[in-house]
Amino acid sequence: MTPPLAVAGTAAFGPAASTASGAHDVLLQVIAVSNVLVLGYFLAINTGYLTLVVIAAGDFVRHLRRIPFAGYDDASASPFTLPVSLIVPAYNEEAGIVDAVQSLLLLRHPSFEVIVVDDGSTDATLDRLRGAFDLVEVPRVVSTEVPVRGAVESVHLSRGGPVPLIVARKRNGGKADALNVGINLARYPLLCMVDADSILDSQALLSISKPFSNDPLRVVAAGGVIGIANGCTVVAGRVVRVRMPHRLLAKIQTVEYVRAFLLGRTGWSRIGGLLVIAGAFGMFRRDVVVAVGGLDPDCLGEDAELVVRLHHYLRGTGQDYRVVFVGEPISWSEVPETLRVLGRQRRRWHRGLTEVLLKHRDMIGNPRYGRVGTVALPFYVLFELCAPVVELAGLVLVPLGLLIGAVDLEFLWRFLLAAYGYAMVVSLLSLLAEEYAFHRYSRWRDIGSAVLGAAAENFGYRQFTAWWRVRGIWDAAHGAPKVWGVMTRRGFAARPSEEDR
Amino acid sequence: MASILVADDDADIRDLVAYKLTQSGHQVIVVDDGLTALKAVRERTVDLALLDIRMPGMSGLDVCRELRAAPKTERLPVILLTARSQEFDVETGFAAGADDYIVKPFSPRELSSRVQAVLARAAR
Amino acid sequence: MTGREVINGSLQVLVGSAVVLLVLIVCVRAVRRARERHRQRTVEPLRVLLLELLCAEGDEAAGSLQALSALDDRSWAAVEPTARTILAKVSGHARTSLVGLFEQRGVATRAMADLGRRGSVRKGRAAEVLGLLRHRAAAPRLRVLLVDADPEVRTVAARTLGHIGDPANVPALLNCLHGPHPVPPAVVLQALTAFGAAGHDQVATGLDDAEPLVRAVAVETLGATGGVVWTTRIAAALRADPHIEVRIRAARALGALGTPAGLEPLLDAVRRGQPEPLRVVAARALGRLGASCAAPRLGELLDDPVHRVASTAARALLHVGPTGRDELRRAAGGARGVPAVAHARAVLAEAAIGEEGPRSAAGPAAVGS
Repeated sequence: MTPPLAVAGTAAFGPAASTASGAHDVLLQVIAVSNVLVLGYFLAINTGYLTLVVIAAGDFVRHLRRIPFAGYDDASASPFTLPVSLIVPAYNEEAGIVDAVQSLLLLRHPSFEVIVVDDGSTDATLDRLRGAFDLVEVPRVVSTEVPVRGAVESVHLSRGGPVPLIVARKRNGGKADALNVGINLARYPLLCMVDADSILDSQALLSISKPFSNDPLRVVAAGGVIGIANGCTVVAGRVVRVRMPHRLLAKIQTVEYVRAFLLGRTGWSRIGGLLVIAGAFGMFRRDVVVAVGGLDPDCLGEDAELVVRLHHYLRGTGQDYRVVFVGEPISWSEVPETLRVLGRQRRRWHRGLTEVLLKHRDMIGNPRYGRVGTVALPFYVLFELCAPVVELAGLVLVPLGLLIGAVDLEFLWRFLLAAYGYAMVVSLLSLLAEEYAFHRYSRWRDIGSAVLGAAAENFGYRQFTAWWRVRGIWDAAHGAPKVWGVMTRRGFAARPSEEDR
Repeated sequence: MASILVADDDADIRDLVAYKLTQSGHQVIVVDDGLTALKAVRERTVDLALLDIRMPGMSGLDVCRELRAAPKTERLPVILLTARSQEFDVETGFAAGADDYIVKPFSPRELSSRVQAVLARAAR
Repeated sequence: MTGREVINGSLQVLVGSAVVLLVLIVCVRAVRRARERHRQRTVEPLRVLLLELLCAEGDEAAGSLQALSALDDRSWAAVEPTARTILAKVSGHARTSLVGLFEQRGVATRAMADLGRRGSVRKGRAAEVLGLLRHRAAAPRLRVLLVDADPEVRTVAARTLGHIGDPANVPALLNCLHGPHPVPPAVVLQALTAFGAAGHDQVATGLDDAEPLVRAVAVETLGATGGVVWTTRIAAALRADPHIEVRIRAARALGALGTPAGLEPLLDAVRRGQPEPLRVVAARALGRLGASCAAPRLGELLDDPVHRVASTAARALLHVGPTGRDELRRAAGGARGVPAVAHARAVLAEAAIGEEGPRSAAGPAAVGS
């Protein structure tokens, strides 16, 4: 194939050219070649995603047909379903913590406890809980199986009721540290880590623990789907009506979540290379988490890091294990609706990813770590870590090529159309799979919104996220100070139903 | 003939219970969550409340405790519907002040007679 | 072919696939909506008929039963899912009449035929229905499915055999724990406990099985269903079984059975030097056993360097009556080591909270109202 972006007329081949024009030619060649590389990269990344989406779609079909005999009712009544400790790290969550805990306590599951770890909040998080659940401070010996930085200051229980709630107050030490305290406090063999601001469907806990009872000896971790709560109606701690968000920025993220999280992770799970379980909703076997020493408080992407470390440890010690993604259980979170907050979030995410990949670089491409080493990690390095760099490079090189005449305009827009068109086809296929399998968005308008989001993603959103993500890489390389991801939340319960606005 | 409040988030159970009790000649108010149940009891005349333990937002146990704490409703007969037959639930139910409990799956006929029994006991 | 042609060609393909995908999204949704609407229209009047059948006194059921069994296939298809979910929620007469309706509609017969046919999904769904109906005649075929190639079919077959509840199925259920891909033990356990005491003799044969998983499940089933006759055998498993998982479950079973014969082996199992997970479970079991003579040994454990062992022992002491409380109070006062003080104080404080009685009116309810 001829280099598609090189325009034959301008590329000089004459050996007699002067040194100045020789340098110019070289530049032209370089830019032309880089443009081909960018194009090839775009093709490869989207084909990668397409493959994942197709694998995931197949998994959905299979899963759907089997729901009638999945036995949820039996599991929810069985005294032999493994008990779960839900760990909720909280930092300045006074707005929603009570509602969050109340709805967690009403999840469908025969046996679980809720452990809230207040990571030295400076607001009234603990007071709100104390008032709502009539907490009393108790002396408690907290185990030290997992090392912890911020000491536990007090432990509280609910008075007089069999309410399975433990609230621990600790000195501030970050989310990972709060989770580690929760792990030490947990009494049950399964841990479920939940963000204080996420809303779980009532079936969520049962479905995410199902892989652990189906394959008790091998499943060590399971991740769940994260849905976007913006635009949805929330009553009594449950999402009762699912709607696409109103803001374009959130619409785009909805499409992104469906494609990358729902389909992408289902695909990875099927291949056996799932690397990321969102901190907002994931379940782990306690003994294994303790064996690897809990979460790493030095790593910003502590959720992904834990999973990669589990792979590292379990593969390294030659154990037979599985990390799975469950397409069905849903935890809903609010996503940023302003560029500023979104920018901070993406920067933080990408920094986390960079740190994880750096920390475990010996696994990348290493056949000793199976598909995780040979497929998943290289894919992440190539198509997640480097994607924003290439994208930004393209953003610079293409106009430059245009400027100095290495690229022909007519050709350029067709090329861009094809590249973004491909990305959009992948998004549409994901939407189709979602529509077929879960159809959570019920109105006709929601389809329009989703398609709009899929299209709008290519104009500005991609470019902005690329910029933030590159800055994330920069942060990781320079070890900038870490902060809890602060997000200005409006609080779910306080919000009246704002549907059909 | 009594006025009975039925609170359950499961539409099948709600319809079934309502149908059976109406058939037995009672007047039935149905609600699908705990808070509405509490509101209904406070605002209307209710002779007996049938509450599911697991409801979104506010459980049947919480509703029951709340009813017992208010002077107006402290003597209102309450029957809890529970999906589990474990002692834990039963004990907690009685501790919360319930008069009786019914374990799901249940027989509509048995439900009707339990309701009669509790109403009769309350009338004495 | 030039680069330009390639790009143009791929553009056409992309636009084409985008259009196709959009149309598909719309179609999928339109079809589902139309179906759903139709189903709802059909179901509404039939639902009342169904409720009538379920709530009927005496002979009144006959009319609605006849009406429902005479429905055309389309209407039945619309009402069947509702009937099925209700089937799992009712008992007594209501259940009997509903099962009668299913039998008359030939649901069981069809499902029986499906069990023998190809296709995992078909078999799985058929097994689920037969379990709901507790269709005894299905047992022989379900036993075959216990070793089906599909793991989910194996699981549903085990659950269903539990629902059907014929102790003759116990050997097959134990047997499906063999091999490289056993049915999840928790599922088998739940199925086996459904037989209650009637299954004991058969379950006990699993105590001598060569496969540790079978022994573990047998031990735990006997514990969970009150097989006190087998206490000695279970105690022997706790003392001498080569597999740790079996010993752990034996300890749990002895606690659940609550007979004095379980005391000695449990006291041995909490000793230092025994595997840690076993010591934790055994300490908890001593608490469940509630024998006051276990108190001194549990008291010693309060000082154990392993956190889980010490905290479990503290909780267990709460359950062994006044002697246990005394032991805790002495430990809290410093009669034993420093760790014991902390553990004892912690559980005593927790217990005190639990005994203060129900919450005040300012409970969680006050927040929402």
